[in-house]
Amino acid sequence: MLSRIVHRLRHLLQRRASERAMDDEMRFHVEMEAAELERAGLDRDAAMRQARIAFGGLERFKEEGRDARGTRWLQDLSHDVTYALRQARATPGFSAATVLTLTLAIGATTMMSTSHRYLMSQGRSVAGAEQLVYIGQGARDCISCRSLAVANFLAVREQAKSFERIALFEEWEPILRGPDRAELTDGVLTTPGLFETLRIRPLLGRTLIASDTLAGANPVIVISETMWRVRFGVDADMLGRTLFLDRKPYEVVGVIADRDVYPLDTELWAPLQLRDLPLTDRMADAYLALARLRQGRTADQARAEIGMIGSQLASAFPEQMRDLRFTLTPLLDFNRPSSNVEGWIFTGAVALVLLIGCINLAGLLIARLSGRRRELAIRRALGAGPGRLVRQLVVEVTVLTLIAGVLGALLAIWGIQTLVRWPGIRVDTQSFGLALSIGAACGLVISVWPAWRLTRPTLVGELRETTRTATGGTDAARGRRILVIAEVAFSIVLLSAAGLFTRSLSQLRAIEPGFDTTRLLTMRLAVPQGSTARNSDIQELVASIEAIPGVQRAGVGLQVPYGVGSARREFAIEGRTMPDQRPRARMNAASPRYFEAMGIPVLRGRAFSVADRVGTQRVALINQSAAEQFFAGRDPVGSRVVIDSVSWEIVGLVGTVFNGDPEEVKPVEIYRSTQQWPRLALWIAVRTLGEPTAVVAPVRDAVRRFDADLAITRMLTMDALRETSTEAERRMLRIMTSFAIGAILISAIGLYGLISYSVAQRRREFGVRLALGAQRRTVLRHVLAQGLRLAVIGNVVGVALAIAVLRVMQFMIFGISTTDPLTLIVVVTLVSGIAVLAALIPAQRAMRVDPMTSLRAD
Amino acid sequence: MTERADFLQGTLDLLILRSLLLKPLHGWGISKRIRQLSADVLQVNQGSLYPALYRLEDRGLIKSAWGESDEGRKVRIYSLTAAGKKQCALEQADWRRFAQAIEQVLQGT
Repeated sequence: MLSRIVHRLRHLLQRRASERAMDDEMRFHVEMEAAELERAGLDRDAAMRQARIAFGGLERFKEEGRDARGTRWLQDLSHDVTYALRQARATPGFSAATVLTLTLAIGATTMMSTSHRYLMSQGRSVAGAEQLVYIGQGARDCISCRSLAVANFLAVREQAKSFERIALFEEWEPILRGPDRAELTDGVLTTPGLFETLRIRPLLGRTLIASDTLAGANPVIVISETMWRVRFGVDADMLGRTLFLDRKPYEVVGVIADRDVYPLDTELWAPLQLRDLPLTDRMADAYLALARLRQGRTADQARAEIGMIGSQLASAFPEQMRDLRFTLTPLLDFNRPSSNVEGWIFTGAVALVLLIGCINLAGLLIARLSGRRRELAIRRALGAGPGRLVRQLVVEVTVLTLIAGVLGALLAIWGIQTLVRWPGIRVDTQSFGLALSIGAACGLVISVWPAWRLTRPTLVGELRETTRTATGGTDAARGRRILVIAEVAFSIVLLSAAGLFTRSLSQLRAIEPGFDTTRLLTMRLAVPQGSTARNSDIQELVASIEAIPGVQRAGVGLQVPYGVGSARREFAIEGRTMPDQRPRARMNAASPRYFEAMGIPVLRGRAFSVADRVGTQRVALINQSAAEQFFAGRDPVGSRVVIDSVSWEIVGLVGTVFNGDPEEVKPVEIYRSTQQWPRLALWIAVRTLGEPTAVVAPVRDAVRRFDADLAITRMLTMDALRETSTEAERRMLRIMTSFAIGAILISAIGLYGLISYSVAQRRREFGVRLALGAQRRTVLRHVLAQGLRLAVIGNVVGVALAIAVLRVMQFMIFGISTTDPLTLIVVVTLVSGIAVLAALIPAQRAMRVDPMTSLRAD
Repeated sequence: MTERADFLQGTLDLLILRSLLLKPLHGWGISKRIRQLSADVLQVNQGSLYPALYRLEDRGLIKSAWGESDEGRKVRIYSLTAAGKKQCALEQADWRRFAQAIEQVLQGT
């Protein structure tokens, strides 16, 4: 065996010498044979001829000889690659089209896979994540409720045998007092078991322990590596330092490495004091319970067990537990975007681009192969085996795929950075590998079968047939027409989706906000937990902000438009009985000059004034939508609303403002005075005289001087805030548009390729027609019509398909239906226009055919 | 013609090995010897000898070395390896059994 390899290698390495030796040997044979025949009496020429005939095809035997040495594949490969590159240069149109198609397909797939993996990777880094489950409680039909009441947590912790560890935690956003400003942080309050459940070891110091939760224990905190680095510059004496959180001191006892951080982006972990929580209320499900399954237990077993515990509790506490049951959801399932329709639409778009790409590739290759039938037949006749020819074609496609792979990777990197823009998302090699394999597989499968078919037929017939054909009315041509129609149809679907998103977004943007969005700066004011809301304080802060030069007006509200949106609550209108349904409205609060600062018009009555204070008549304002809905034409001023059994007099009517929620264009809202209904977390609205960003620093200073433990978050101009409210829509639009452009580009290439090819095939025919007196314009029209016919069929199929498929997008678009005629008309016009352009170039070529040259050719 | 060639292809290896049994030969020599031994009954495309030679060499049944022809030209001389000798004996036996069987069948009818 070894000698055989050595033998092969020797031949491989000394390829040239070995090749020459083979040639010498065979020539020698023929010469010897001829010499012998000459001796037998033949003349020299006849002897040589006879010897050659007796020997047979020299080149064929050389080929077979190379095969026999088993070194051929490598020699051939280098030949094939060189040949492929030469071919690629010789047919730049085909090569460019193939590479472009594959680049788009590979790029799109890589982007898709990267985004998918990004979404899936959250929580994946946790050690033994597949053993982690969330335990929750919810109504019967709740499938993956995540939150649990403390009382139920304690019951499960005591009784369940399925879990190795179980921990309870809740989100916590304390304000961290800093050297120059206070900041809101992301933290959790947790039972110490969380770290064991997650199997986290500290980077520095220790994690939380049971004794930290004892009454009177020194308050301690564990911080993340990021916080240690960003806020404390990797201070070597971090452990033992005191942090002020919500005005209270905590001693830092440990640092958690970034890779271990869970839940994502957590900066602080502090002990959850169970004894302070509602221990008997089984419906207060405000906490998250994370558990690690015991070795060998499955999620289903655990689910059954907590189900049992749940039904026992239901019989023990029928009042509270009657409608509740326990749920168990694997941690990894939470991040699975299976229920995410946005993700599915994204996937569908990519699949379509890939499909169009493959179809196009098939079309291109079929066209090229039928153009090369003659070449292939000649090469076979000269002694190339069918396997050799197939491999040649495979190498050609592979070379092009590799080039496209490099370009596709660049495209994906660009796309991820400019289109998707999720924080920290990067193109990963696995996604790219997947896309490259799919691209290569498409190319190979598609190139091999026609290649195989085309290398089979009898040589003579093939040579004769392809020498002089007037028209290309073959199977291959019909197949290609169908492929192009499919491409056009799928492009219509993608373009329609992009068109619907565009229209939807412009509809969304066209909604009147109902207030003046220019020269307006808004920010959320975060207040430490345990503070008491005192109206006089807030008025003082507002006054100090109004004193800043460049500030025209300032006010506070519970919620501002495009913010989070205020909560909906029930209320009653005094003197009116609403038998079946109590009216509901969003409950907002505002300071006296809030409406002035926001530019919300007061339509009737008055806004709040500084005279409305605790002890005076409680006053409220309602917006236009509320008036329309509940007072239908009558003046609401003077009526009274009852909220939580307290009566408020309506003193004014204000304009309706849009909250940024497309589900609710005209929200029904009631404002109460912040002076009479003090709130803690508020939004500050600052109307400026000039550029609003100019007052950012002075406003921060004013807040800091007022209270060093107040934090400002989401400080943005209203224009910017408004933009962020459509971020998801815009991302979807960007992605869909780029896919649609890719698709229409590929289809245009396909159509162009098809028409060009048929024009090239029919040169002779056009020559004859022109020679017989056909008008050049007629030829042009004829070719254009050929392209248009395909485009029209593709359009019809595509529109039908779009109407059928895009129905799933209905809930994602606003203000239009998925069969929006304008969108469809624009898309069809666009596609037809591109089709005409794609057909125009070859059509012009057909028109310019010179009868004489084309008739003399062949 | 083609049928006969196909048939001979399978036996060509044996003929080559057999002709090398007496002494090492160059390609043309082998070709000539096969024709001599078979009294010109077996006519093959002479060229098909070479792929067969390379195949046998690749399988390690024969080996080749540079040598000189009777006319003093530099040529490749093929000779049997030990494995080749064994293979020759085996195939010869196989062939005989096969020929005998055919003979019996032909006589039986």
